[in-house]
Amino acid sequence: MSYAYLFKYIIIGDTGVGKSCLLLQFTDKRFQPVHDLTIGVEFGARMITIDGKQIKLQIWDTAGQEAFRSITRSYYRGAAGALLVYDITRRETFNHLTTWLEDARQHSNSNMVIMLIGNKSDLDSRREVKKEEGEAFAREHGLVFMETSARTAANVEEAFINTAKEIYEKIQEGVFDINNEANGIKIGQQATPTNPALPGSGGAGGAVNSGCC
Amino acid sequence: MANKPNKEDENLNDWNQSDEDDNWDDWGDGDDGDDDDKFVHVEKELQPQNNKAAEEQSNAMGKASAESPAAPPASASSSGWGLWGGKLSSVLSTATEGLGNITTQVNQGLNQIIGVPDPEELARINAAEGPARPTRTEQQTTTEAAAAIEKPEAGGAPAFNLGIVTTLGSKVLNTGLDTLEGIGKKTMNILQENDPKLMNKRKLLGLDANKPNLSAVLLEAKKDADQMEESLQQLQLEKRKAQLRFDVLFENYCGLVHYEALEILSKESRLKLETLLDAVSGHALTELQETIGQVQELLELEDVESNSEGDYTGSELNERLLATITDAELGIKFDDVASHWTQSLSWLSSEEATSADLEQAYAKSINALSEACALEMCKLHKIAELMLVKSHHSTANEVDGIVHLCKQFNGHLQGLSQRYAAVLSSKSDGSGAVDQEECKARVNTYFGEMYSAIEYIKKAYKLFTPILQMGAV
Repeated sequence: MSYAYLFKYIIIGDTGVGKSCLLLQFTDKRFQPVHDLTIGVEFGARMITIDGKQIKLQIWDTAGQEAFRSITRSYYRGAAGALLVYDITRRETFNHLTTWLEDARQHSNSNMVIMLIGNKSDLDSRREVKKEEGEAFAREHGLVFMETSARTAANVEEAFINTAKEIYEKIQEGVFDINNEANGIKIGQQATPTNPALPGSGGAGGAVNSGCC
Repeated sequence: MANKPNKEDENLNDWNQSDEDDNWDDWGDGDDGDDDDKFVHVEKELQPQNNKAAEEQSNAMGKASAESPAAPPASASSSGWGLWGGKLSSVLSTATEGLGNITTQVNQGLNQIIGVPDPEELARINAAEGPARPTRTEQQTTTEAAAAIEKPEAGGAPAFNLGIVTTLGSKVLNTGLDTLEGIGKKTMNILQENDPKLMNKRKLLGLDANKPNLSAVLLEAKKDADQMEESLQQLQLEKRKAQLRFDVLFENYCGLVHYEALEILSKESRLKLETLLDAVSGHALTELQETIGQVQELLELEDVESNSEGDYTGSELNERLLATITDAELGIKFDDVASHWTQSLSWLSSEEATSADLEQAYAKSINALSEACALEMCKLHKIAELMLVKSHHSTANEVDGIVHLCKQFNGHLQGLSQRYAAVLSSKSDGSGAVDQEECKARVNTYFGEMYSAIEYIKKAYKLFTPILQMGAV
C-alpha cells in the first residue's frame, strides 16, 4: 500500500461523456452502462508503476452537470493531471472544450498536465467528431490527445498512465515542486514509518503493565 | 615421558586393586558423578543445536566403546557396573559430541552469518528434531546394554595389559632405548584406549582454562542470529499490523479524501463569506454578521457525543439517519451505510465470528469501523456539496439536520464498536491469562481507534459551519 508518489488527477467534461465509466474501467476493469449521476465529486484510486516506482493515482471524478460547476471548480486546485473528456458521438461536448479548458487553466496550477480524451470510440458508426479534429484541438492548446472506449477498455490504461508518465517527467525535470502539495503531488512513505507501530506496541505495553499487577 | 608410565602404572594398580576389592565402584562413582556433572552441563548446552551430528557421534562412540578390547574391568554381577558402563559410554559420547559439535556449529554459524534460514526451513528443522530426540535416548540405552554385555569378555583385559607392561619393563634392561620407545608408544596406546576418561578430562580442562571456548563463542553467535531473525519477524508482523490501523484503512476506503474535499469546500465557503463581508457595509453588514453569528452559536451549542449499544438493524439505522435530515430536503440516501451495517450484523452473528481467532476478528473489526466511518464521511461530504448547490435554504432545518446526523453517526460508530469489541473480548474465554491480557489490549486499541474515527466526524461537523453560514446569507 505504500507508494513513492501520489498524483492527484481530475476528470472534467460535459455530463454523460463517460467520465465515471472511464474511471471505473481504469480502477475496476469493468463497464457499467447505467449508473447514477455523479454528485459533486467521486473518487477512485489505483497503483501504477513508472520507472520502477510505485505511484498512487488518486482520481477526482467530477460531476459534469452545470449545477455543480461552482463546487467542482474548487477541486481543480491541487491536481497534477487532468483528463478533459468529450464524447465523439456528440458534437456539443466537443464544442464546450474551450470553456472547460479555460476553467481548468484558471483554477489549477499552470503545470497541470492535461490529456484530451475523445471517448466512446467503440461507437464509430455514430461518430460526429473526427479524430483529426481532436488532434488539431490538442495541438493548438498544447494537450496530449487520445481516443478511448470505456466500454471496450481501448486506450483507457494508456490515457491514465501516459498522463502519469508526463507528470513524472516533469518532476524529474524539476518543473514540479514536489514539496508543495498544492501541485497535486504527495511524497509517500515507501518504508514503514516508526509511528504506525504505536497501536501494536501500545497494546503490548498495556499487556505488560497489567501483567505487573 | 618418564613420568607418564609411572602414573599409568599407579593407575593401573589402582584399577587392579579396586577390581579385586570391589572398591572400584566407590572411586568410580564419586569421580564419575563429579565428571558427569560437568559433562552433562556441556551436553545440555550443546545438544539442542545439533542433534543429528550428536546422534551419529554417540552412535559411533557407543560402538567403539562396546567393541574396544580394553573395556574397563568389571564383574558382570554388579549392577553398579552396568550403570557405570552406561555413564562412561555417555561420557565418551558427550566428549566426542563436543568436538563434533564444534565443527558442525562452525557450519551452522556460517550459515547464520551468510543468510538467516527462512521460517519454513526452521519449521522443518524443528519437526526433524522432534523424532530425533527419542532416537537418541534409545541409542543410549542400547549402548548401555551393549556395554553390559561386553563386560564379562573384557574382564581379563587389564591384567593382560599389565602383563605386557611388566614384561616390557624387564626387557628395558636388556634392549635399552629402543624398547623404552616401545614402552612409550604402548603406554600411549593404553592411555588412549584404556583411560579415555583421563584424556577427556585433560582435554576439557585445557579447553576451559587456556583457550576461549569456541562452542561458547559460536553459541553466542547463534543466539545473536536468532535474535536478529526474531526481530526481523517482529518487523514483518508489525508491518502487517501497521496496515490494520484506522488511519490507513480510512484512507483506503476513500474516507480521508472525502474529508479533504469537505475541507476544501469549507475553506472556499469561508473565503466567500469574507469577500461578502468586505463587500457590504452599514446595516446590511450588521445583519450579515448577526446571521453568521447565530449559525455559529447554534452549532457550538450542540454536543454531537452519543452513546449506543448497536442494538438495531440495518433498516432501523437507515430510518433513523433519514429522519435526521429529511427536513433539509437534500434527497440524500443512506442505503450504503445501512447495508454495511446489515453485513456487519450478519458477520457478528455468524459461525465465522465465533470461530475466528483474535487476529482475524481484529482485522474484521477494524475494517468494519474504518469503512463505516469512511461511508459516513462520504455522506457528510455529499451533503455539503448538495447544500452548496441548493438555491433555497432553510438554515434552521439544515443546522438541526447536521447536528442530529453527526450525533447519529457518532452513535453508530459507538454501537458498531461495542458489538465488535464484544466479539474481541469473547476470544479470551477459556484461554490462558496471557491471551486474556492480549485480548484486553486489543479491545483497548480498538476503542482508541474508535475515538479517532469519532474525532473525524467531529472535525467534519466543525467544517460545516461556514457551509451552513453560506446557506444562511
